Parts: sequence; C-alpha cells; structure tokens
Amino acid sequence: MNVMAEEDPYLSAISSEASKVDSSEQPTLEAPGAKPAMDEGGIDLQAFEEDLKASYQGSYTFYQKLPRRTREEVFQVYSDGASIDEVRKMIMDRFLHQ
Amino acid sequence: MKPGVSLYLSLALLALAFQSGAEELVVGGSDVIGLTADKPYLHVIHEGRSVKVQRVQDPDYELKGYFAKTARKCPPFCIQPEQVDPRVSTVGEIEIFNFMENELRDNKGIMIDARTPEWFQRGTIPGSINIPFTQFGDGNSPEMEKTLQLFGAKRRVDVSAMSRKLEEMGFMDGERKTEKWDFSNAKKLVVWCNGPACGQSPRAIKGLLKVGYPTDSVFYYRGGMQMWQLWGLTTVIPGE
Repeated sequence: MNVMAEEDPYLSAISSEASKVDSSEQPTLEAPGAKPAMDEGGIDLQAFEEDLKASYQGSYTFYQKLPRRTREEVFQVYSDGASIDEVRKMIMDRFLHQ
Repeated sequence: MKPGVSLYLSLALLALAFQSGAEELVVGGSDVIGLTADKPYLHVIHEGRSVKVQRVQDPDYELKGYFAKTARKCPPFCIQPEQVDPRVSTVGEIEIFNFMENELRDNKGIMIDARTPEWFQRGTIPGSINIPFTQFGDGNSPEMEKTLQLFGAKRRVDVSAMSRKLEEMGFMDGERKTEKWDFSNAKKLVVWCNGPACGQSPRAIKGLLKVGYPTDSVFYYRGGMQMWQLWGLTTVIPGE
C-alpha cells in the first residue's frame, strides 16, 4: 500500500493547520513572562569546551575522560556562575573519585 | 484515657497542626514556580547546547495562540485515546523530566517530535529530534531502516527459518529480535506530537510496533506540545 497516498488528505490538513501557529506566542525566550531558555550570556556547551581546551589543556584532558553525565554537571556548575578555578578543581575531583 | 493525657495529646496535635501550617506557608511563600516540589528546573542538551527547562515564572501568564485553542475540526483533529496500544505506556510531564535527566543524558533514550517539519520548525520540546511520522509508515523503506539504526537496532541478515523458529520457541536467544531486526540495544523512545488531539505520534508508534520495536521501550507523551505549553514549559525554536 502506498502510505503517502493513504496519508495525503491528513498530510494536507496538518500542513494547513501548521500555518496557524505563531512561534512568538510560545513560552520560549521571546514570550512575555518567560525567562531565557538559554543560559544568560550565551554560554553553551561547545563554547565552554572550546574555551577550556584553549586555555587549560590539562584540565580539558581530564574533562574529556569524565563520563558524559559528569561533564554535563561540570558545565551546569559553570553555567550557574562558578569560576573557572572552581570548575578546574571540580574536574580533578571528579576524575580522581570516579 | 486520663484527662491529663488527653489534654497533653490535644496540645501536641495542636502544635503539630501549627507546625505543618508554618511549613506550608514557607513553601507557598517561595517565588519559584518549579517543575516539581523539589526540582526548580533542569538542563537538557539540545542541538549541542544546554537549555534550561523551567516553567514561566509569571503567575499571571496565560497561554495564548494556537495551543490555547480548545476546538479543532474533527476529523482529522480528533481527541486521541489515552493509550495508543495496550502494550505501550503513556507518560506525563514528570516522566518526561526524569527521562531528560536520565535516559537522554546517558544516551540511552531519544525524544522524538513526530510531527511534520513545518510544525517542528515553529517550536519544539528541548532535547527532541524531529522524525516525522511519515518516516515510520513503510517498514521496508531506506528511511525507516536508517531511523531504526539511529535508535540502536541492528539489521539481521541471513536468519534461517529454522533459527527463527528456535528463537520463537525459546531455544535460542530471540528476545527483542525479529526476523529482520535485532532490538537488543534499542533505545527508549518518547514519542510525542501536538497533544491530545494529534494523530501524528500515534501513527509513528504504530509504525514502530509494526516492525517489532520492543513495546517496553516505546512511550507515548499524549500531552504533547499543547500540555507542555499549558504548563508554561520552555520550548525552543530549532536552529536558534
């Protein structure tokens, strides 16, 4: 059976319905009353890892050896405002106590 | 009971009542509108970035726009049953939060926005990837094959009828396997779409079940985008 042909009337109905959605009315960054979805200052994981690699190669080496979940926790602590020294200590601590 | 003891007990109960009342005041006095009583927010990785998932903090905020609508033409936008299939669990927001913090972080689960791309582009739940329900329609299509591999399934080749029979009878390890697919390492999937009146994710789930995806690894978030937004939870615009 041609699935696409079977779904066609449904597909055209949902396609037409989708045009009624206004993204600005969702509780995202732009919505009234909503807090920023991204961490303020535009910190993202990739930028954090690149900075760490560029400035603290040793810490970055240990950071890479941490499980993914621990790396996310490290990033979260950094996102929440911890200093880079605190973050580096955390990386070593987590690495030594795995 | 002696009158003295009774009085003592009454006083103790009164003190307890005051104490719990005070605790309620402290909780009620908090400014934070949390995800749960003990979880103000959580972080989830979306498109390589950490996104803070939380509720809108304005107590006066009211949902507006498309997802505030209560009526849509039925058919096709009819209220869906609570269950897509008796073997598939339906989950709510708390289960989604736990899934985000565990299976998603540990790369053992995937959240699937099963809507067509034009819906996805207008906003999605953080941590979700877009795999439109149309991709689950034909179990033999290259798209479906690629999708199942993304979910951790492995294509089986040259499985003899005898081997398969022995697997089915339990003489060989055939659990989480079909003639064509080995689902031993299949990830847990949360499949969702626009909400209780959306048929896109139920169609995707039916497609998954048709190819033999393990039913204990598929979860239906019926609330979808409508309930997510009703709770004022963070959404993201893909690519932004």
